[in-house]
Amino acid sequence: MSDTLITMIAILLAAILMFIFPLLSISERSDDISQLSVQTAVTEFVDNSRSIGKITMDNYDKLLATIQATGNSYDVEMEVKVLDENVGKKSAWIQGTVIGENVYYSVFTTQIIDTITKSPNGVYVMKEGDIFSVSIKNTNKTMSQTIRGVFYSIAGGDVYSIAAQHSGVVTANGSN
Amino acid sequence: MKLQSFCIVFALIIIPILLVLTYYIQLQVDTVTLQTEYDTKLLDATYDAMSSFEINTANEDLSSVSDALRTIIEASNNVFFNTLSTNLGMSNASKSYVEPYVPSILYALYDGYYIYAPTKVPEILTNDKGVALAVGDYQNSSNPDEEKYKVVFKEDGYYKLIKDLPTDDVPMVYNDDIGTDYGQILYTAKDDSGKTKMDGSDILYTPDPDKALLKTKNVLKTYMPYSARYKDKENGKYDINVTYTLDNYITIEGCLYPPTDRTIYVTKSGYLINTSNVKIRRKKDDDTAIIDNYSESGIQKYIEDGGEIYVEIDSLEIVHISGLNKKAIDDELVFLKNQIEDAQIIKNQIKDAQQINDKYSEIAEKINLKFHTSAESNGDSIISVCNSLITDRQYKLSQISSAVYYCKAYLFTNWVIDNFGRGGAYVVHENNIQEISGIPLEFENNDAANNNSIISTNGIFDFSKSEDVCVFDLKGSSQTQDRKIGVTEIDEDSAFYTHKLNVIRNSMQYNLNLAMTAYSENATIDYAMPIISDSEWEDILSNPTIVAFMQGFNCGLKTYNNYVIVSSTNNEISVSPNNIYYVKKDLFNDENSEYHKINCEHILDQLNSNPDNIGNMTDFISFTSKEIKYDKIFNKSKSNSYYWYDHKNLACYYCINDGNYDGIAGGIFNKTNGSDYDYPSLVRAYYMSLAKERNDLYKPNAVTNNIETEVVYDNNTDHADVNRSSYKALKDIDYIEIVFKDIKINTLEVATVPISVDENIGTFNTNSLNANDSRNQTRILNINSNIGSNTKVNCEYLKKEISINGVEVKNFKDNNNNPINPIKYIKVFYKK
Repeated sequence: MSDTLITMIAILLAAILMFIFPLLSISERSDDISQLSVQTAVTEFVDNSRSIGKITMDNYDKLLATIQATGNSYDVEMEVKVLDENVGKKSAWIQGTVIGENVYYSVFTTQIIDTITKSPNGVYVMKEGDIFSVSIKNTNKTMSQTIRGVFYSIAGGDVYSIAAQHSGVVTANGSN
Repeated sequence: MKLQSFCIVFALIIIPILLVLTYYIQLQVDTVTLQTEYDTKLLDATYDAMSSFEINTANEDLSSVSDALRTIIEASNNVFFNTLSTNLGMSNASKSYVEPYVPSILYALYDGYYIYAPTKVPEILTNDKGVALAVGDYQNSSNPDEEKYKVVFKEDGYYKLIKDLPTDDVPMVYNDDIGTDYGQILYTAKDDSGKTKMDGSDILYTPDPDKALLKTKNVLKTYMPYSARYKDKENGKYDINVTYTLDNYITIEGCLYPPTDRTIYVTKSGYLINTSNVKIRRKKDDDTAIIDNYSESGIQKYIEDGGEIYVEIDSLEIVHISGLNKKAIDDELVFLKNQIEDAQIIKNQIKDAQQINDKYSEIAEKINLKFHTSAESNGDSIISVCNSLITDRQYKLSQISSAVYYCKAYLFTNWVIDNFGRGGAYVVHENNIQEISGIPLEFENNDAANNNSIISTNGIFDFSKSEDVCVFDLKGSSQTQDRKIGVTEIDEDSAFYTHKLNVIRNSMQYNLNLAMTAYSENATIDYAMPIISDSEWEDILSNPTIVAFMQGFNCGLKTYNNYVIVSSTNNEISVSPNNIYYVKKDLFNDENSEYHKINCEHILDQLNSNPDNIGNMTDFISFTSKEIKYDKIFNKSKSNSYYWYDHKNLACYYCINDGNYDGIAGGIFNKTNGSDYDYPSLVRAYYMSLAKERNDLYKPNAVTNNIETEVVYDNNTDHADVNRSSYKALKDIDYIEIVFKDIKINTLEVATVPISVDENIGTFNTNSLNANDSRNQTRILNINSNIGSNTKVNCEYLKKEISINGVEVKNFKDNNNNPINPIKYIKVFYKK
């Protein structure tokens, strides 16, 4: 009887050792590779956009194509912090109701995509001094997350294993 | 074997594989992360370099003069290395450590480019303080702190530096060998094997650069203009050099040979525009041909002195001015600005309103107020009156500038097309190109049947069809109605535009390649120039740009190799129509109104109330984005003139801050009813502003005076034929430079004698000659601009027309009463 129990435990352990752990390890490596490719793609996208001063449909599509090639689905969040040019440079303001003191206001993904799709050339224009940032997270459960979930689960729905972000100051005034 | 054993064996096999795999993937991840980090550091450093360039050009006076520009580029270069080394975790003084990883940096500017790259340079002999030593230098003193040395001659042209001099050593006596080299800079000499040449333990030096030891050093190479040389191979009718710029400004220098025994020298700069829709007259109903009689500098002087001029583009009046004297307006602006400052000071001193009234006359007197009325009896009003006058004067200056731009561009373009365009006397085909910025091109006659030469040295130019490609074909296939940039701009699909971009790109590519090959010789790995994509070239060729290359950093599994491109849109050296902002003249510097881009829907709010027809047009004042960004107060192209923009208008939240706006439906050039513009005020503002900004741009390599000259007579050369006539007639001549010699009339007891010419022909700039002088005396004969004469000028003609001391030159006699010809040299300057 005890022999049978030990054998069963041994088989279970063997199964975990022989299949689950390698699978977990390999799927985690796979996530690492996805992470790598997503990070590279997002950096290239942000740096390219900020050096030419515009977000183009072409570049955005290229970014999506690159990250989707990893086999996961992602949530791409873009944010442009628009520099308010209305700076109180001179002391001669007469009225007290002057708006704008070198502040930034933000424009987010949906507004940006909306502008790009409506623009005839498929671009979102930024200007020198604006700040552009992109953050990408996976929305599906990757295989490593699923396997890990068998052993332990992390509370909360907003769990991701692939995340990449990059941001930078825009270096040129874009044009349509 | 038991199951347990299988498990252990399996684990033993799998675990090492997994470990290695994990390690390898981690390395890959690190590599790419590191590469990304390097990319960002390089981009940040290049961005800092560009920012420093923009700020320095904005604030440094005369920053566009090439020498100052070079200093600015060097400063920008230092900023690049400072930021890069700081970002890489080193001290910002680690330039020398980082330099070997930067194959080159390209600074593409308005009309040429700099390359910062390693170059082989000779090592100069210096003393302890770094001062260069020359042949014959000697220093000896009893002060133990001072360095003692003398440069002595060895033999075979080599020199030695002797340092340990006894205190009683005397200055060396120069022998003949040293005497010939005296004062020359010395370089470290090289021996036959290419190493430092030694004499025992002493290093030898040479004044001969060919014998000098070369060391690799990173330097900013000389400025290379975007130029190309064209030579008529078949008929030998011209040999010219054309310098292009990022926009439509070009410089043409060289020789024309109308018949081959004649040489006309041309040196001209100007803007090329599409002239077909441009009409320029002195008055609205004047004859256009009158303008054609002016030279470019002549028309500028005419306008700036207050002459009447009427510029019409596409049937819309753009500028119609008369009586506006530029200098007077400039002076007035300075006066008004001073008045405002005085009024501000007084206003700050007097707080009480009653006091202001009491002291009004005192204020008025103190600030020399010429325009006060009772309504203006407080400090604010004086200031606001001054401000509105300043705005008005500034608008007038813009009108003058834009009129000058269109007139000069019109005349220049016509000259270029008439001479070098299709059907012109010296038509320039693409395959007449000889050199691009000093690179000689080699042709192969691959297509002998059709007599076409095909270039063999690079892949950019395809000359197989270039018999048909005329370099100065300015028209493309664009439909002018649909264009966003206006009808005067050159089509982007025209032969000229494509050729210009090819010339610039080819020159940059060649020289970058050359720099990188030189770099590769000293690098540990083979390095070649990366391939820059077409879209990246487009970025480089549309604005001033810095391209920084970096390679060689250890980057995990591979070696880093990449480049970044950073363009500049806020600088002093170029103008882009996208970066010009507009505000209605009456609202200029009003803190409650906004400035806009020209096609913003909200600019329509500033148009005069209905309907915006020709008779009720709105005046707009414009300025460029750099004036906002760098808070500009000084205009370097006009030394005494301020930028009058006080930055009080607000930026429009739709077009300036955001940049993503719908714009005016159909664009500003829309014509709903087919003939008149929907928004003539905006069209006029656009054409005027672009012209003003371009005309006021300081161009480092521009020719100040456009000239076309011919030496008609020179008694020292083979042109000593008195009957040899000028190629063009008097009506095409602007002025004549005449050199007189051997004027000896010492029978007269006067210092000078009068020189005169028939008033119908022209006038001399100086009406006299020294009476007793055997030296050359040069006088300028300004030809009457209304002369319609078809007579050609030669020495005989001038001898007949010019009188010295009341006597015709043909009868001129020296002291011994022998007839001589006092005219030694005649050079004519053609109008165009």
